[in-house]
Amino acid sequence: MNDINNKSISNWQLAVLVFLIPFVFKLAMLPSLMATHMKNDIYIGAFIMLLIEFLQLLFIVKFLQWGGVKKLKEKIGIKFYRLLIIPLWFVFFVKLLVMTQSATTYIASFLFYNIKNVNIMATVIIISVYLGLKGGRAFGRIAEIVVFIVPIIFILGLSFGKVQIRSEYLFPILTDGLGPVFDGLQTHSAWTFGFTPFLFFSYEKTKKKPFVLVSSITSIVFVTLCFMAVVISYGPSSHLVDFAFARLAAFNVVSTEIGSIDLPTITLWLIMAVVIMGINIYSAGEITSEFKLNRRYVLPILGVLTFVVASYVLINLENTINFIKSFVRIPVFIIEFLMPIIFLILAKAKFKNKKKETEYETGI
Amino acid sequence: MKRGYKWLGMALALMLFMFYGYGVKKTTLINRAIVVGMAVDREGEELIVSAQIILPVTPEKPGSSNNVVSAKGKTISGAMNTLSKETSMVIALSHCNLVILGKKVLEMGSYNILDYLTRNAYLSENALLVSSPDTGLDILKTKVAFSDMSSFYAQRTISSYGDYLGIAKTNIKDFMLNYHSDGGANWLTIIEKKETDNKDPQSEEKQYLFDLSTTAIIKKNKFMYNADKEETEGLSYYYSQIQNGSIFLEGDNQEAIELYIINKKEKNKLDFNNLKMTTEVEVIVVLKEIIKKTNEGEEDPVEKDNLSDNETKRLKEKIAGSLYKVFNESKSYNTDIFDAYGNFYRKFGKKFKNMYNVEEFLQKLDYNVSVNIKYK
Repeated sequence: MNDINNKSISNWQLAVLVFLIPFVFKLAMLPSLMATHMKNDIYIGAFIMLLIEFLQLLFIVKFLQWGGVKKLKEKIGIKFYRLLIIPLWFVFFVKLLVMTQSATTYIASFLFYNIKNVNIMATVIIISVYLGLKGGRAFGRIAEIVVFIVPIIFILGLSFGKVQIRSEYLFPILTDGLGPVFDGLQTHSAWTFGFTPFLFFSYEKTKKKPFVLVSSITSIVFVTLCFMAVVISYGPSSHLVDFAFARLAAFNVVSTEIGSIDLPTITLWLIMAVVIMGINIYSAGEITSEFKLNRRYVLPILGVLTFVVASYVLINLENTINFIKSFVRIPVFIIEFLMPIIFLILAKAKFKNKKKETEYETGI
Repeated sequence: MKRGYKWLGMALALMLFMFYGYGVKKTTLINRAIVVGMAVDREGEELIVSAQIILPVTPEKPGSSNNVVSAKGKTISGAMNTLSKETSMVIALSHCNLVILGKKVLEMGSYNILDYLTRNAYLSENALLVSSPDTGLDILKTKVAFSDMSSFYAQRTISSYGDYLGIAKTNIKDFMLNYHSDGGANWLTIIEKKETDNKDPQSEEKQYLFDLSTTAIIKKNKFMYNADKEETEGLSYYYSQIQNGSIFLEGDNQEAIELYIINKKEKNKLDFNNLKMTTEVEVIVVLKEIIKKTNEGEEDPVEKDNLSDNETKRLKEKIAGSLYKVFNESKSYNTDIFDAYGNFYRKFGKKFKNMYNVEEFLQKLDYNVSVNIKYK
């Protein structure tokens, strides 16, 4: 019973997570990477990427509404189910490596002087593994608590920000057609599907309120606006802007002996970065549980494995970005694209002849 | 069993806190050189990085003090490492808001230096970027009249009291942005020393002020020329958000007229067929002071609310003239200082780019200025 509660998040909590997740790694990493392909059209690229991502979320939510993995397992049998979920473990591991390097480099760049990356990496992984062990409820609660920082960031920005707005840099639109946009999107496709781990979550029954729908639309609009802000701010030099999230928020600079940082933004980013890593670890744990491997042992091992590969094989962020741009991105994208659809089809096909009361109400 | 994991977790966290320090190089504040201004100069193949640092206050040496230190290196980071070794302190750039590029750096190309500084997360990309008629080190070492530190004085003068007319300021971020524009035109405020009659009460050294009324014009990685005071004003009418400063005008009857600028707006009108760009400038001013000299040479204050039509016309010509001057002078160096090419491209898209390159376009461009004065 405890275990089930751990997995379950409320409709509101899912809505908050859905709103915050696209902000974190995409906004930190993608503007400069995409600008090398599509220049000032990065906000169009981001919009398309988000549409694809939220389309995937639609499949995932429908799947969860129809009973999620618990029902799927009952219908298709444990052996077939095991076969189906193995590729997802690979995806979660690859994404975990990339996220670990990104979070580590972000912290090392903006928070500390002369600190060893391995120390940061170890800390980030330990916290993420701990959150992964705690499960869905923990992620939902953290997201609920930190979401109030978002209006604070905007209030501070509007109060103290002194930004020269050059909206003309948003134009011309698609001057070389959609080619460079799709080229950029396919090169960095591995950053697309941030909601895949939710396949292994479950809902609590709640009243019908369209929280997730509203937060999805809000998230698409806000993230696209943030990409526009990068273009307005940096124009043709956008490709040089590493960690755009931190640099955009430079209007609220807190100078101390540890450096110049934007406190609310970096707080929100750091918390959500470990939450997202924790979500991936949690879902990877859900997969290994199906093979009768105890999560409590497997997840710390996964943490150690991530640490070793990220720090001693991939070594730095440049290598990691090249790794995720390499052939690896293709299976990652295909698996993430197909799995929710396959899950949904199998769940629906098996549910067709069942009684209506097996459906889960989520209010979406 | 569950309790056991919690204890194990707690023990791990405790271990982490206890032993974490072994992996972290600790730098106490006393060993940190807080840089408030830095200069980059060039001597032959080598770069000279200089830093004005705040020295920590100790019981033996109370009160604030600063020092300027320099080191050579083939690269910026190499020179900074040498600085760290020589000062035995860690160079901290997080409080550095001024970067001065020496004349030779400008002449031999500054992009690589700025590229490094842009990628340095500790240095704010909003740090002011200026140049020196000689070396940046010379500016850092200057004894200024109104501050203990030349860096603070320069920063305050350039930015703290609003955006003045006649200072074409830029920062690292904007410099990089302009570098990557099609025309690649850039500008840097030149800090020139101006001697005062004051002397430092302790050292008896001469004290200086900074004159910021001229500007270095750069195209991509190449220094082009020094823009004079009038051209610098033209640049600030075009680029700065002027909310300060004043304009002097001679009246119809040789009165000395001083106008205060409250605000300024500008926009460009583009005509693709005639390849014409018109900059429309609107300046909101307050008539501040008019002094008329009598025939006997005495000063006679005049009470007047508005300028005459002729005076307004001359004021418009003065503002337009400064814009024309900087545009035409830059054009003679094949430099598109107002990014006219970028403006046309952003409005008319690829068909424009396919028709012209920057140099060809610049020579064909018909540039006009229209000025509107509003009195408040």
